[in-house]
Amino acid sequence: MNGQEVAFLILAVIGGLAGLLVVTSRNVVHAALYLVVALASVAGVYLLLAAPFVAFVQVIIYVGAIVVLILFGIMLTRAPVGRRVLDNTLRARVGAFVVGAGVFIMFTVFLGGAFGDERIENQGATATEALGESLFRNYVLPFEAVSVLLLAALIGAIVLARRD
Amino acid sequence: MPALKGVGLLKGLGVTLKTMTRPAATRQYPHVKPDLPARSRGVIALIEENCTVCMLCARECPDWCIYIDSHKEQVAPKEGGRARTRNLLDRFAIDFALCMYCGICVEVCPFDALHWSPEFEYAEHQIEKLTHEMDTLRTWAYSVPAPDPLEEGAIEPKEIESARKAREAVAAKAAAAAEQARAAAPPVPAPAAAATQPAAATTTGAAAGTATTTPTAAAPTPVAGDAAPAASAGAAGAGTTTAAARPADVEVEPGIDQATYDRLLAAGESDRTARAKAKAAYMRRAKAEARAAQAAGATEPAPAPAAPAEAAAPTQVPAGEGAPAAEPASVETPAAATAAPETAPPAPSAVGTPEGAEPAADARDPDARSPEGDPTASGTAAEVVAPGAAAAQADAEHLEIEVDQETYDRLIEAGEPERTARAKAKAAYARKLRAAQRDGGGAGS
Amino acid sequence: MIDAARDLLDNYWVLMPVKVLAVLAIFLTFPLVVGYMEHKVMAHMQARLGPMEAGRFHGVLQLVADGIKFVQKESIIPKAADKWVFALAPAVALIPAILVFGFIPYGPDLVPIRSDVGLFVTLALSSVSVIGVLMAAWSSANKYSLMGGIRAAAQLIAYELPLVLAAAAVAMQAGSADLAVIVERQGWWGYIVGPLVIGFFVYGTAALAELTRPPFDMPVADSELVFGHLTEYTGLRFAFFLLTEYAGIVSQSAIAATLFLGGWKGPFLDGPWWLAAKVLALSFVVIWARSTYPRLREDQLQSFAWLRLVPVSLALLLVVGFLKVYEVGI
Ligand code: SF4
Ligand code: SF4
Repeated sequence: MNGQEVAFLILAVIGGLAGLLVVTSRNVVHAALYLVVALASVAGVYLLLAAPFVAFVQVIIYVGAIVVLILFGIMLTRAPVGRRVLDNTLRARVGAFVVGAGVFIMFTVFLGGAFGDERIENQGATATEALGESLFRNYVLPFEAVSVLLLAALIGAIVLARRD
Repeated sequence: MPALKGVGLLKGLGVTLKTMTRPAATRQYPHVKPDLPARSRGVIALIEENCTVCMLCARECPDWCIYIDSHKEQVAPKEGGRARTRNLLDRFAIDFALCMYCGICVEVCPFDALHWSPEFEYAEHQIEKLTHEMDTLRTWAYSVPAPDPLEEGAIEPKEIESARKAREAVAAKAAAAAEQARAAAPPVPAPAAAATQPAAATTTGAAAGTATTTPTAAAPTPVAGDAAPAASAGAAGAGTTTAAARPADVEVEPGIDQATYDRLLAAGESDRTARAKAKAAYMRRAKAEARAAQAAGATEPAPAPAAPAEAAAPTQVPAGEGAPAAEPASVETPAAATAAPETAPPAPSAVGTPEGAEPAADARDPDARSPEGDPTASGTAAEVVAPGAAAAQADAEHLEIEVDQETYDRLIEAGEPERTARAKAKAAYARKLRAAQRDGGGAGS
Repeated sequence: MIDAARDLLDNYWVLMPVKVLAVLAIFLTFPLVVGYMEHKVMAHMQARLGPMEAGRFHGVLQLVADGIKFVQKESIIPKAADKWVFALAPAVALIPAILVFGFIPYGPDLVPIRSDVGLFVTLALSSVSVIGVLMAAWSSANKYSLMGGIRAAAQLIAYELPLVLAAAAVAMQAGSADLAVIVERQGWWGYIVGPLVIGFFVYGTAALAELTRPPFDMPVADSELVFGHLTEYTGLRFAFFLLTEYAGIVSQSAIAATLFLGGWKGPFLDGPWWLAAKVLALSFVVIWARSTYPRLREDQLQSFAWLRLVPVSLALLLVVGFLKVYEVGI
């Protein structure tokens, strides 16, 4: 085990625990805060994979924007000030468990199928420049497709939200 | 109108920047004492000698925060008649925790026993200490500022009037004596003039020159030195008639007498008091000068009179005014001494005054003394000639109080707060001074 | 001697503590200087004197005295508060604020931690501070705090966008996200000459809003929310939040100076002193704005971000892109 692997292990344990706490925590705000930890450990994994740009964009977008948005939503609607517990029904819990387990199995199967026992070698740091090159040269179409998708989602949200 | 909006934003920035470059309005209070107006309502001072226990103040006080105790005393009649009773003050206290500083008590007191002092730093940690007893109230009296000078043409206060009359009487006597002397030795007029009026000789040589010649000619008016204008006008009698006339109205720009100011500051006066007194001194002098200039312009073109006003012998100033009749008195009495202290404060205190003690205080603080603002210093004369009870009291009120260092040190050591110690030390000093005066006065008379 | 020192500094385990100490020193001095400046400048702009007693000379030690006072204060945690979150919030706000100082190029070859995405690191770190604010707001179990938190969240989401877009325009112009490279590609006059001057204003405004400094201080609006997310904080924890605020002013000023004003470059004698001067000048402007403008209303705040700043910064990105592609020099 080299240093990188040790670091990964630590990050994986932290991220995994945080993820678990996100779904088991009895307080929405705590859940959102555990989400911050989980996302930050993912960013740490990106750093380990020598992709600092992705790591920091992860922090800006997910921690700085998404989680803040989630917290904003929680506080605006039902922020349980003080110690109030969630009133999740059993049905909701079972549903959540089914969906979570499904996704977990799916990823395990897919990743196992794709790489098997193959060991992925360490790669040199991806310069941000190279990342940009590949994103805007080789993968322009998927990139644009994703942005169109996001635009569609945006318009859809506005249509849903507007009453008139 | 986005463009206009932007301009407004920039203008706002300009305003704050401009304010930043200007001096701040902050007063550094504990370091720099506030520049309070002369009639500030700081604390109420009691001059217990003046209080007749009439109870008016206690009754009028809307807060009922004046406490007075007294007892009656029989006074043996002077010559026949029955014994009189009189009230003696035992306790006089004002509870400043209740007082709302309305000033009604000060207004209502018919005997000028209550005054406003601008002192305001007497906060306490315990509310009972805000009840100031008689001795504390008395110490406040030392910081009561001098009354404003009377307006030009105002009726003189009684005691001053009587002092003036007495002075005139003395003058007349002196004149008669001089007359006799002159009559006894007519061939040598010059020394006589010099003897009666040494001050005059020191001023303008020309005036002195004429003076030596005129007295014999203008016999009825004894004031030789002043007669210069009168003589040139050929009407000595005119001089006597104008003597009674009030000083001409003069307008003077307000200012400050730096020397007085510095001296008072050095003497430990508060800045405000010093400034007020210096201002008073300046006004008095400036008015005198202006009046002298007027008179000079009216009678003769000689520019001489302006100078003496600042010189050590200000008796010359009214001389230029053409008010000779009253003058000799001030020559004999230490009028020079009263006016001089602006330059040399303590020295002339002993100058040939019969009652010695009072003018001693007087000389130290001339500004507070002469309420008319008239440089002839009739106030002093009053003191000298007729030191009536009222005048004496007025005098005590304006004693230049210093701190009795011994008492002060002792109290500080005893753990008293600085303010209390200073006040008590002041009181101790004042007591000593007064005792000394009484003894001195007794010895002198 | 100098060579020996150089050799010693080449050792990682020697260099690292030196860097850490230097960054900590900057972190502990500059925010205090700016805090003192705020006291004095604001006072004089309001025709006052400000602190005059502490430290004998014009209250120079006022903030030190304040610090001592804060240490002595009782640390109160409200009964209904979420203790852990409440206690952690100041740290979550403060630590990223310290870390930012590690990525700023203070001079040629004077970058404590060099990263080829330094720009994004600093942006990411300052966005983490926001989480601390939200934690504080929610955990205080206080309605005013919560409302302050909601406002803070809404405001920070709104202004994050123009902030990042303006920074991205600079990265585009410089062709790098490495702060050191960005400085090197600027003249000493920086990017302020050219279309990026708009970016400077957008960035400045957005940064002011990110810091929730007046006139964008709706989240702590003291006239309506007591003190927003800081309402329940006392003692050292409160001091940490204040420190975060001033450190934020310094770090945002430093980033703005690096991005737009040529960083450590100056008309003569390049070096950290230029950056220091620029940081102080920008901090002065921050304080100046505070004492000049009244607080914006919440709706004005939002519409200003979404309807003015975002379109302007997008247009700027477009303009810079075109100029870059068609090689029109700036
Ligand atoms: S100032 Fe007014 S309230 Fe105070 S003692 Fe005099 S009368 Fe009473
Ligand atoms: S009104 Fe004057 S004289 Fe009468 S009791 Fe009061 S202080 Fe004394």
